Amino acid sequence: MAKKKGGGKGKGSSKKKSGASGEELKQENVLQAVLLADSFKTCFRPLTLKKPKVLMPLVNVPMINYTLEFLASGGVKEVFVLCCAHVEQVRSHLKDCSYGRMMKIHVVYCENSYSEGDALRHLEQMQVLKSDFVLIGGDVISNIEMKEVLDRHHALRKRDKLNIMTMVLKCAEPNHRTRGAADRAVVVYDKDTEQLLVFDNKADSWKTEVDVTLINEHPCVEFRHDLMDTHIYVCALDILDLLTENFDWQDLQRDLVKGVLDDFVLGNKIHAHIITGEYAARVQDPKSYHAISRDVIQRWTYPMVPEYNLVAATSYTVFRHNIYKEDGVQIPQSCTQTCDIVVGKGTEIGEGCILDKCIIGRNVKIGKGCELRRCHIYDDCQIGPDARVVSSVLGKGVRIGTRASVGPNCLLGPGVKVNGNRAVDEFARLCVEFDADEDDQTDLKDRMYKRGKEITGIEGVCVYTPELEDLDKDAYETFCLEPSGELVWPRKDEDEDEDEDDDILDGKNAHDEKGKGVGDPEQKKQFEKELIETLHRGMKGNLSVESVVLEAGTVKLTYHSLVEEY
Amino acid sequence: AQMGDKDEKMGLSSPIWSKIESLELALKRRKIVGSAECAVETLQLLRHIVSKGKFNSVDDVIQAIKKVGKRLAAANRTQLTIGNSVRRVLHMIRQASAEIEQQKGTNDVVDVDLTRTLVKVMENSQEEFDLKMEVKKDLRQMIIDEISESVEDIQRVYAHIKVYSENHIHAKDVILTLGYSTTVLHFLSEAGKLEREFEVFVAESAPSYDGHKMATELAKRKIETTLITDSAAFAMMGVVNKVIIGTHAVLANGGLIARSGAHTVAAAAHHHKVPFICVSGMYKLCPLFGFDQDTFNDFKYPGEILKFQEKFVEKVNVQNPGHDYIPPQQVSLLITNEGGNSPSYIYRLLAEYYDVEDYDL
Repeated sequence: MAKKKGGGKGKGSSKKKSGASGEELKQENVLQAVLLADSFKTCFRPLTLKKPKVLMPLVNVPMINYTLEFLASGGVKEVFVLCCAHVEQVRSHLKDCSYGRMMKIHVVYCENSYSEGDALRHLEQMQVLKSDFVLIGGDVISNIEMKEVLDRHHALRKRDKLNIMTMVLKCAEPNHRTRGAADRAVVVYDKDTEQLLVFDNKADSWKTEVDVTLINEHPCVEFRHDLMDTHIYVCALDILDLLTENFDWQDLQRDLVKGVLDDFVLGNKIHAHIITGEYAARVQDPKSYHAISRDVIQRWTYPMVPEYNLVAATSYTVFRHNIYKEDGVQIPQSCTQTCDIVVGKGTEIGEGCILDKCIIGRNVKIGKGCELRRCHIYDDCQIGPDARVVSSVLGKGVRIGTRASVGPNCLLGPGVKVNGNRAVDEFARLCVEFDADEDDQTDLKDRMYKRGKEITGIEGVCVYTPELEDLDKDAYETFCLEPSGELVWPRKDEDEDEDEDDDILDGKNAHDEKGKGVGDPEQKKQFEKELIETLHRGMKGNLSVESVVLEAGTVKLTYHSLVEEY
Repeated sequence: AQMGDKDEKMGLSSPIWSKIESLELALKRRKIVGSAECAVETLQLLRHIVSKGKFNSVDDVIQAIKKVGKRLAAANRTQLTIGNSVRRVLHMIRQASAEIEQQKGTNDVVDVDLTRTLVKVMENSQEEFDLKMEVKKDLRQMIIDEISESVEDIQRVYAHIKVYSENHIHAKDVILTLGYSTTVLHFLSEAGKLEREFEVFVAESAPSYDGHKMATELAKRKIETTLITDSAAFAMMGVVNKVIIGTHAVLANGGLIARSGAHTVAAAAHHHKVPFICVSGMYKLCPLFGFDQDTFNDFKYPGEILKFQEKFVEKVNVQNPGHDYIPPQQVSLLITNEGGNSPSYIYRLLAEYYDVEDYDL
């Protein structure tokens, strides 16, 4: 158990008090952690309408258990869990779980918080943090040795008081399945000291800007695109002070990290701790949820694997090809099992089923001949004979009728029923109870209930669309379990105006910066065509040479070709 | 698990339960690994329970130890020495109670043999002891002493085994070994001290490659060593005299749970009719049977073989088993700290250490 050394880093909390009053109080700094139990995002709706995201099961265990296990085995003694939505459920879960005996867990209700920044500001007002603390999201799964990160952070703090944060970053190639769907971080850091210079995760820009003065101060700079932010930060108390000062800082990555790195006046520094062999990842959206489930099943998070029954009171045993079954589960011989399957206690599986990389909760009844591929089925579901579920998440208590099919990338909320012979198409999100807060949403709600009835054949099922949240149509399509496309950078066309200015100024190497390889030959042809037409017009109209040259010049500017070309 | 009930607590106070829970957690989190370490920690905890727990009768002690032992063994199912230690302690408790009972009234030290043999059944002379008997101080002391002796045995296992090496390693021998095993290292270095010229081939044992460490250690002790790849084991078997390996556990049928890769070497040795010798301490002897590769196997971290950060990792399924099961037909000799035995004799040794009632914890 790592105990933090005193070392003059802020006030210490006295852990032991000796009996006699005359003796000195022994001061020991207890390692504290702040757990953000609310991600303030909506990608998992409708599963998270009535239940907090951190209590959603990941391989049949609530996500927050993994984070608590990580903190407990790292030697954290006191945890402040910041909740906003569904705080009562989080409170009752934490009361029952065994981590309450290993660490002191305080649940803090952050009223009126709309972002991580707000929640942390709320915590700062309570003045409970005494010295450097670990800031972590409630949906982080990790097996790293916390001691290493803490030692590094303390060494950096000792060297310079301005080193206020250490971020843990994991190596994962771009388009790796564990990275979030919108994760396109470009990280720039000093190679020798691993000090972070730029952390750019903007979704709408294809450029990262680095100030030249930074390069002057740090002669060896490395640009990396294969680092994933794990949302494990070791922070000094200065971070909270900065958040209180800048009360418009909402998101940790976009506002806090960027704000600290951009501010040269204060000169605060953030360092990166890069891990390759160990595992750390955050569940950001359904894509990373699906990927991290697969990572846990494929044992990348060793020793937090299901059959060690470490994170919850489960009773799994593992068989070859990563098949995990709890006590008493029997899968009939006639079923086809491929690999990566998890089956919870009390589940009955019918004859002739096809199980392919699926996670099945407890007390699920699966009829004969079902086909379950790459899906997550929570507790108490019932799946009729010959049904087909592909790449979807079925919430608690969902009933699927005979020969129904639930298409790829669906999210079915708890209690949804689908009649027999129905097909739920791709990207559908269904839920049972949805209360519209505003009146202007009532007719939208009625339409969605009607559509829900069309799809499932059951009254009372509502289709949860992005319109209900005022989001784009394709916002939910990108946030699905298995997005089809790879990460797309915004096209250069959108930034054309900016481009043109640069080109006019340089006049050369415009082609190199384009990279719009496919468009080029076509553009060239069009340019040549227009040039020829201009010359023709000039000759026909007997215009002077200068005016033709001028016209040709404008054509050149329109297509920004090289000067040598013509 | 909630520890509310008086029944559940079984006469053990909260400080003891917190010790039990912390050991259980450390075993689950794989902070304590290694057969000898796990065995010693378990024995020390059980000794603490026997000395500090409040028990009304011998039966209570046995039930409490069984319950605790079951939890600890479940914390790390592939580390069989935990269960072995628990069974040993139960056997010691029964043995000690029977001795104390026999000793009542007399001052002689009586040697009681509780093993069930056919002779005893025929003559009806099986010694029993009263389960309801009180747990007095001298009984506790006896059990504690025996447990301490066991702990010392485990800590000095290398010293006890290496005396047998002069019988088994002769001049001009060519020995093949696999990976790094402290027992084998001590065994071979003792023979090296006798100034017998013998040669050792060490298979590097992927993916941990601790064969490299073994080769350097042997070379430091002035033994002629050659490092080979695992795949070369079959090819080299033609020139090898004997194979000596260490093991993770010994099963009741004489089979071995050894490191991954040992089964290949055993099969190659069997094919070439080369003697396959296993050296291990008696604490690794387990009364359970297993006949396939998966029963006592642990699938380890796939990062030892494939790097996580590469994108194609999602298309590849990695299996990294930690252990191999070697059937008893392929093992020629088992050398323990009590001498050499053939695998078919192991079941008799079990009777000295464990009682049949405890095989299923």
